[in-house]
Amino acid sequence: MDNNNVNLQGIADDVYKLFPFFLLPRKFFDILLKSVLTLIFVK
Amino acid sequence: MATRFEEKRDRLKTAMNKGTPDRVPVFPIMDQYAVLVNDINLIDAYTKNPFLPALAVKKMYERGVYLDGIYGTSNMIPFDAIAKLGEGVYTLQEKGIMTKGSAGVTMSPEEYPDLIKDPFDFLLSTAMPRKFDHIQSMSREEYAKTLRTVLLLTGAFEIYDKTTIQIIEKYYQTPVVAKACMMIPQCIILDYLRDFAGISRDIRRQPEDVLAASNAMLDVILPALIPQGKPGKDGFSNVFIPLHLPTFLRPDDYKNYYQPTFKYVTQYLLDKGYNVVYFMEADWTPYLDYLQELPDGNITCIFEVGDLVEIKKKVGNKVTVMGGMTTELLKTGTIQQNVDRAKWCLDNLAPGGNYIYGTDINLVYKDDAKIENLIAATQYVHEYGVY
Repeated sequence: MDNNNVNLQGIADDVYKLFPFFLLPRKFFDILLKSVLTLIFVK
Repeated sequence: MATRFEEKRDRLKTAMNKGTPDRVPVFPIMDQYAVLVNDINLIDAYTKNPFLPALAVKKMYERGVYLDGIYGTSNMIPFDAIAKLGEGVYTLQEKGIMTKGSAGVTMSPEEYPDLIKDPFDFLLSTAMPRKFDHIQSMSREEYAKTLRTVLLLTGAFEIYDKTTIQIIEKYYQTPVVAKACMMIPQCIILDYLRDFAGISRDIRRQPEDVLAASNAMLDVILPALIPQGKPGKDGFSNVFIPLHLPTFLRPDDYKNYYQPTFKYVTQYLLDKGYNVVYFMEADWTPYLDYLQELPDGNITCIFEVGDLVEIKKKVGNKVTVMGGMTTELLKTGTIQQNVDRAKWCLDNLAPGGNYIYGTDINLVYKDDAKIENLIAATQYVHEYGVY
């Protein structure tokens, strides 16, 4: 993957479109994504 | 009439609020050790059967160890989720969770402006692919699908761990003390972005960038507390935070480039209704005066090194002191030596309350303590540590 072409908002949007996350309020989803990625990154 | 759970929780809670409980709380941190010393398969306990870590607690009681609480399950790494991205720093083996050294360098010093501008973007699009090799070979679509799987597996992992905690609290009447964990941003830069040599250089050459990036990262780090559970109404929601970087810094650098974030995080957590528990790694003696600048509130510090009598004298007005149970003595000493040490703690650290009898560092591996020493020391303090 070319890191220079990765756009955060794009990826977060892509993940949000996938089941079951589009069932969640977007704000809650963003918090969930941030929290899980932080958890994963520091492991 | 209070249940055993409530009795133990209130004992800890009173001490953590700088008070004097009915007895000195006994709180050795030994979650993974409890699994291993009872010959329970760690892989099964952490991935296959959520009853097994609770069974470890039950077996500790059966063997005679006294506990007022346990830290948690030490099952903090969602290995299944991380495996989807590639190998992380930790691997789960039957004899313990092993590290493969540091996380390496995932950021160059020139990239501080990017981290400061949008920490979430930087972590997701730049640092994550550098840390996890699998991401580099993924298309954007594959990365999105993998992140979906990671989110779902992490959710399943959280349910698994919460199940264990409920069993321990309900059936074994033992408070699980750590309700959440987090890190101070500067420690994340040390551990996961720049490594030791990198942050040492940055503190000398571009310290303002380190501080600015750390403050910006709070936008990513603080929301991570939310899924770990809102503070409860029982006043016993404790966030554990290991402090890795401070004692590597010169006191002046600590004061200018660490303390501001440290104070902010502490205030934020207290305002949200959490109690804060810091693992004070290495020797904090040169930095003790700075603890006086922390906000007032329920702050407990586990001191790994140092003269605890002096520490309590110096900062006991500000924080609850935990420690005194030396793991070296648990590992190599005799029963009598450990009982003598327990008596010393009661004589010198317990007077006036505001003290928790606990291990100076976590007991992790099976040979980290002789079980007979742990039994004798915990029983002694519970029996004689009466106020």
